[in-house]
Amino acid sequence: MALMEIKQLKTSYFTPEGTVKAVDGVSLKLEKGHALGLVGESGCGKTTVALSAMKLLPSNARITGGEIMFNGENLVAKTDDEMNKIRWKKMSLIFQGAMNALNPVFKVGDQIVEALTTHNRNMTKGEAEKRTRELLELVGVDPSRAQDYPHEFSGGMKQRAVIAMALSCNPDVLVADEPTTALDVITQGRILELIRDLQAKLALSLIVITHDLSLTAEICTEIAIMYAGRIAEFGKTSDIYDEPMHPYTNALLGAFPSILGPIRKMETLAGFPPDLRNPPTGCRLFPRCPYAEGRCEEREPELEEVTQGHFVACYNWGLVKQSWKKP
Amino acid sequence: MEETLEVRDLEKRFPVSRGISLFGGEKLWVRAVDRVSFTIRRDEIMGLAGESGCGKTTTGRTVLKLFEPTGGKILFEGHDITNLKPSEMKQYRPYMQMVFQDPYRSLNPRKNVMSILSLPIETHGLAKSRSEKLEMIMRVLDEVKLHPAERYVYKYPHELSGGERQRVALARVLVLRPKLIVADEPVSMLDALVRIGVLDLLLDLKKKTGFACLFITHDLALARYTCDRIGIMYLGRIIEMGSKDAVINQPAHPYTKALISAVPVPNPSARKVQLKVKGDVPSPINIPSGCPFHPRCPYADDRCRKEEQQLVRIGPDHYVACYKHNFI
Repeated sequence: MALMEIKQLKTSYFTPEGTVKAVDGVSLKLEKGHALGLVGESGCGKTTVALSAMKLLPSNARITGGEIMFNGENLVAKTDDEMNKIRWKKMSLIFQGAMNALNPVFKVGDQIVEALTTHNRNMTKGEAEKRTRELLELVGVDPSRAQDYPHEFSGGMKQRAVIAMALSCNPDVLVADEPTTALDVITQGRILELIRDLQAKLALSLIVITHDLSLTAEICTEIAIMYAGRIAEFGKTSDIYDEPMHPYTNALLGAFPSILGPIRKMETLAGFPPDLRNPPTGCRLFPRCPYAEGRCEEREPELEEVTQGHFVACYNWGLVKQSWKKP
Repeated sequence: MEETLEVRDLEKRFPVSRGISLFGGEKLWVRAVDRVSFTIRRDEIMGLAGESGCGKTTTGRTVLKLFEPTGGKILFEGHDITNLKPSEMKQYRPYMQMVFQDPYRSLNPRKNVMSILSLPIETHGLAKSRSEKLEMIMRVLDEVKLHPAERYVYKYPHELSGGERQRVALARVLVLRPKLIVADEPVSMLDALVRIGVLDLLLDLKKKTGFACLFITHDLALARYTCDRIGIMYLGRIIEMGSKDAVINQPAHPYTKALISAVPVPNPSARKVQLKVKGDVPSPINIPSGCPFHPRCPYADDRCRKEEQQLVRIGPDHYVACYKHNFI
């Protein structure tokens, strides 16, 4: 059984300008010990999926349909009190830019201790301090630096501290929203390495939310490509990079220049993602898609399993697959 | 004139005070740019790459005299502009322009596209009549592919997407027909698909209108895509420079190798050079002696700790500041 399975999730934001269907029928599966990359451009709904799973949506947003099955329980039906027992201990989230969310007037170690004692009522301060040192060691920060304030940490160290905090209550699933944006390339490389190490050491299951397809290539076992609130393609990492079948995946793969191999002309799609207050009928990529035809406009293609574990929502996946040239 | 920009031993130091000077606090200097030399020819895009704090942005701004250099020389089309006063710089300003990183902050939110683009034309007195000005604006909007231009002229920045804004920012520069554009991380705020559109536009426009460009970026894969030549900066110095093929495919400096090995590759089965370095970039107030990279370099020896390394030529267009490049 999958550790987490999201079925037909729908989440909307209710704004004065109208209802924004940010997530509109998303289904995903995360197996224990795997790392799922959720990839798409800004506004595609990838962060909303994560916030829905953690039930941390802002007050103007609501899950309007679907299920989030986690360890056999449906999180959508859970109350806030019940969620409080799941967050941190079963599932924890590293927000985008979390490293800048460390409180500047408290020592880094004390902030981890606070997270520990808040979520484990019977843990003494001494135990929490010991655990904090272990956690810092685990993420590659010298435990003596627990006495330092955030401004004494470099960007990479702050990110490590935030990861340590997210791991403090031994969660089964770690959700990381853009875990390396705003970090320098060498630091980013090291954080990716740390995440890979932790996954192996702790058998951690991971959901990585990012816009960067080169990053997911380095750490993910499965990848879901999102476009305009829906899953366009989902499969094993090698499926996505070697045999993409959705025109949008193709476009994204073509938009990341590589430091290796021949320099090729990058290609991009004309136009912009649709307004999610009023999404087009039919396939959401239709107005921008080079493969579009009549039926794409009429009826939205469902996600179908083309080969074992490789799902795509496109009528013309056969054509797309044929035309893909691996760079 | 082949060389649009020539920079020789450029230096920019900023004063920082530690403690209160009245009570004997010492005056310290951050050497943000340290004896940097390079040239950019017409129709050439030169990339400056490095981690945050390496001095790439300061170099870009100093070259345009947005910061006063504290040493060295800047030659624009052969004219020495190093010590020109702001009033004397005015004659060169239309030809030397800058594109900023954040199109959400570089455009005035209270002005529509028409007035954003009118300002440079009026400031430099480039149009004789209102109709000529309008014609220039429409033409430049067309050039940056904001079609149809009539639909965009009366829009305000908040009505535009990130990619459209950056195109307006580019138009604001291009309307002056500049000979040198300093582009500071022009696409780092944009989404992948939009980013490629803006970069391709820049490359296209360079072909059509012809200018030299200093392209500042932290992304080596992007630099490789966009630039003809690349300089790698570390703590204010260029430690490796050359054609993009030389620098990216045959990196000679250990720091360049470390940077390249850290870049994620959008291909899970790809293999590349692996070189790991220790520690973090030290504070630019206390730049290490000798080669500034020696505390992090796995190959460092006594000579690296004592002796400063100069850029030496190791290929047709390939320079490196590391005496050990042959052994590594």
